[in-house]
Amino acid sequence: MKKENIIIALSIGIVFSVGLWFLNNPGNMDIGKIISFGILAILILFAILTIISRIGSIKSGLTVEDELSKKLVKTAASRSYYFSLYLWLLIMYLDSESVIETDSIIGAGILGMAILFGLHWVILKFVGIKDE
Amino acid sequence: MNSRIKELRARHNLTQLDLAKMVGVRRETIVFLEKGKYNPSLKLAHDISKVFELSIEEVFGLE
Repeated sequence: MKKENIIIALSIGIVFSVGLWFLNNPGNMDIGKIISFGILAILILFAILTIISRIGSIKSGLTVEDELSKKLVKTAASRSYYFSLYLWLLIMYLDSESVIETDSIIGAGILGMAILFGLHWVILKFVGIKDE
Repeated sequence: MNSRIKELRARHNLTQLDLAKMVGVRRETIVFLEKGKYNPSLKLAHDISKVFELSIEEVFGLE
């Protein structure tokens, strides 16, 4: 079996198992958990696509990481950090307006930062990156 | 920044994959350069120009 197939099979297995676990615990299901599961699924899909792309590059005899891929990650990270400052301000404001558990605040902040990074990375992939 | 990579590649019968291998980058980087979505580093611009046996100015130019 090819490496890609093993990775895809494993990832689908993990998503399927988590999905089954959620479905078998209907009492514990809430919007927060469903969103967490959705984000987890997106992250796993993102990892699968990245791994497949890297394996494809290796097979073609190309480098796995070059100046463009490094720059994409660096730019996405710096932009997501900048925007996450506003996100944390928003979270602090929401916290002052209502009582939210500390764990939830930190979790929402980290999740938000991860989503911002992913969004910027995808946008840069489509739009390109120019330092002019 | 615009480039003549696509035109020069066709003239030298090179695929994007061939050129990527020759200059040590991923194929995606060549695609980005051809579409003008990425400005290369000086080293990469030099390496690509060397493949086509031209100067950097002859391969890359400002719009």
